[in-house]
Amino acid sequence: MRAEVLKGHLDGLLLSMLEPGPIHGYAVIELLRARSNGAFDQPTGTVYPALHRLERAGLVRGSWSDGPGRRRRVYELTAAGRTALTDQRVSWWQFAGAVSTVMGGGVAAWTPAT
Amino acid sequence: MDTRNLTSRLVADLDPPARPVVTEYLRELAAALPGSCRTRASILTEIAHGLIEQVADTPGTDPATVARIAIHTFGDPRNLAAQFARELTGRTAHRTGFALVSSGPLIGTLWLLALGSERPTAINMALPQRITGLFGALPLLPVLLLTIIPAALVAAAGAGRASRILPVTTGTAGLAGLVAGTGCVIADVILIWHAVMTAATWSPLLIAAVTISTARLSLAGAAARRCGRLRAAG
Repeated sequence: MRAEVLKGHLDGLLLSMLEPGPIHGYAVIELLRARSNGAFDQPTGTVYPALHRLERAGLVRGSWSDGPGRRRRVYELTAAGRTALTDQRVSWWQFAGAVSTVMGGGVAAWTPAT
Repeated sequence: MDTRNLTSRLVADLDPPARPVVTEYLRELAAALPGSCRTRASILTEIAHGLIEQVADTPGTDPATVARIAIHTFGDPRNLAAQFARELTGRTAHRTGFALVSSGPLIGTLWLLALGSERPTAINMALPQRITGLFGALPLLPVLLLTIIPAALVAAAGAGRASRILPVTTGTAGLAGLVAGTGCVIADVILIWHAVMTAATWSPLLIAAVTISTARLSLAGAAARRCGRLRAAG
């Protein structure tokens, strides 16, 4: 998939990769590749500035982990990041549902569980 | 920190034939990265670890070829450096704007108190009268404040909560940081020059105001230069 297709959705995708717990930059890339079955195969390096952008906005927190092996920079969601992820999910499902309906995909618009 | 030594150390875990390929990439990235030595070292370390993982995940038998494929997958180091420069611009502008917004009222109040302290008739003057008096004596000052305050607020929106709400790009925040910092330098120079030219006696308050303004002048100047350099690199 071309990089420009991902533009505008990368932040939401990265936030969702970090939802289960703290992981380092390359694990984010691997997870993104695996969960998309290789469809989101971005130039690997671009994920790092994107993580720094999320950190600058206060949506993720980065810290150096001194565990066994190499010293790694690990990222985790902040409370603001969790809120932003929920908001991005809702707006994505509304958008995807509307596009599918218009294009005849037959996918009903998603409504969040109450 | 010497990036040449750092890159050599970072690639030590790789197969010897792959090391020069990855080292070259990291050196190209280091050369294009702006920011302090510490910031550059931190980014280089993070990228090097990602690259080493990428090399380990890339199939192939010849280590040098594998390293070249991994680097190709990683992307152009100059593009990567430009993307990091934009992030650093936002953070630096935020710190500059935040520092100016939070220190400005205190330093302004100190000057208002200091410039009246050497004249007995001015000691009992109300704050609005002191402000009018200062602006009357230095008419460029209100113009500068009308530039510095909005610019510092825009710069502060380069990161953090404000960056999520306001549509301020890192380039705009960097420019605002440059303008606010430069404006602050000019304002401090004017205030110090006015004190030197007009003060009959040097009260402790006036000495404190001049000292603090001299310190802020150099810090604001350095911050403005950093904002300008980072913005140009992004």
